[in-house]
Amino acid sequence: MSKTVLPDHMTDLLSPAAVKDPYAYFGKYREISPVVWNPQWKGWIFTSNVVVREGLAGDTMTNDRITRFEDQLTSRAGGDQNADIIYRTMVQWIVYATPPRHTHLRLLLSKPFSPRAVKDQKAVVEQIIAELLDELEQKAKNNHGPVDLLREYAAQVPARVISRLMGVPDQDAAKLGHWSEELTLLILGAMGAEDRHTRAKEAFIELENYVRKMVAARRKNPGSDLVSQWVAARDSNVGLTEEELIASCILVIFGGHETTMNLIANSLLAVDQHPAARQALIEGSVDPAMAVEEFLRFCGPTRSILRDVAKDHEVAGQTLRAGERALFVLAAANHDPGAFEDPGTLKLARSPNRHIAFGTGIHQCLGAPLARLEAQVAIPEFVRRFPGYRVLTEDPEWQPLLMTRGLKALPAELL
Amino acid sequence: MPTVNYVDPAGAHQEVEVPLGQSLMEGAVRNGIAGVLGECGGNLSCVTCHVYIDDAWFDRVGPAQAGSLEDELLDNVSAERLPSSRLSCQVRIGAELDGVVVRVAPRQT
Repeated sequence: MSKTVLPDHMTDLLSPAAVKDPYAYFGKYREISPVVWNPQWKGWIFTSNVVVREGLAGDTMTNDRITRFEDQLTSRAGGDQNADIIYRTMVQWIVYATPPRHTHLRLLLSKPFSPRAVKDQKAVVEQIIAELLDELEQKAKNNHGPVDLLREYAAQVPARVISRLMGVPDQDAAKLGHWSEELTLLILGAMGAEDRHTRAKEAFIELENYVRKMVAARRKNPGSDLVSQWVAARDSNVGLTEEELIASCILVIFGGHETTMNLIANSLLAVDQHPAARQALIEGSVDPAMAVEEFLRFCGPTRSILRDVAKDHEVAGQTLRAGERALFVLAAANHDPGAFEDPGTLKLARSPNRHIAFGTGIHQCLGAPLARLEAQVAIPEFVRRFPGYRVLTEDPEWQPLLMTRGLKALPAELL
Repeated sequence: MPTVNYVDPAGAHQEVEVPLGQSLMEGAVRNGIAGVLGECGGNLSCVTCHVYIDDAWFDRVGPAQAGSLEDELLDNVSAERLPSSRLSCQVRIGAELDGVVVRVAPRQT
């Protein structure tokens, strides 16, 4: 039995150094051992490309945290019940399901997000982004001041795309985005945000009411949108419960917003810091699809993924026990010098580029085709519209989140 | 060790050795064959390992079993689904497939 333990001074997963540069921070973990025990966090940290990939794709780990949520629900008994209403929906999420239930749900829910279905949405996404860029250009002309690219562009893209796919009016897109951000506080682990349960609960209640009304409306007047498709599936008895339907709509709103927003904003920051990349995008000398794969690797929005150890096993010389928790650091796996040449260098035409920004295994991101499409349009189109844009901070601030690599703001001058 | 002949969408051939029991997807990914992503690691989730089995080999490989999860998922692939379409993570290399010719689908995402 073997356990390599991190020294005490290296254990703070949200230390300023870890938040600012997770690649360097987790690179030090990897040097000690690709799988290492963090005594402060009380779990295993996976950082090399191989162990992250194999751990997520194999059967040694599980994402069945439903039991844990249920324990939280029952143990509170009149105490802090703020988050209970949220957990009751989260237990319905496909994210935490296990086969064969997971297999059934995945097949059902992934249809509208499949590469085939998403291809048909290309024109819609292009139109939404053209509209957003027009609005941004107008705004820049009118007030000449800096704009926050995170809120005013990166967040707007997924909010409007998801709204359009769900048949939600554009004016409600901002609401969905706001609720999603509040939920992030809870779900993606904002350590230290003391009021996070209360804020997330308030947002959640509003969001759930909105979704229930939306489902009822589509049941009455079906359209061709995603919600109508799922309502039809539910009502034709293919094995989707009403609670799963509601929870899945909420998951799409949440999952489709935060990650894509951060991918776009992180990429626009990276382009600002890499003149050659900017030039290539302006000239169109790089394939946008290839460029986005490199942005996903270099500055992808998912810092890490949580799993529970499903069974006792050995990996990288460490002995893991069923029930222990494990953090799979995608940011580290995507910057592993054992898997990528010059991992710290942004090379838009990198090939091969076998990153794992969308995770892998049965829970590999269901929305990946849509996220790719949004980024492939949003990033190059922005750079072509504002070729001289300039980020107005030398040292941008990052969110202190365990699971997410995202900025607090991205103030920029549009030129 | 059996060899597999991967043909990229432009028609270029790349012949690699793939150990018995590995899938066509693993063979492609481990040998850096461009165009086969296999993003979910062979878990029938991502549909990014779509290939066409060459006509001369199709009888030996066979189609996706009707009504199977693979069959359902082949409706979700990005490139055109043809009768010879397979998700390469579901085709295991046996001795009878030594020399099999596999065309990589022109797009996966």
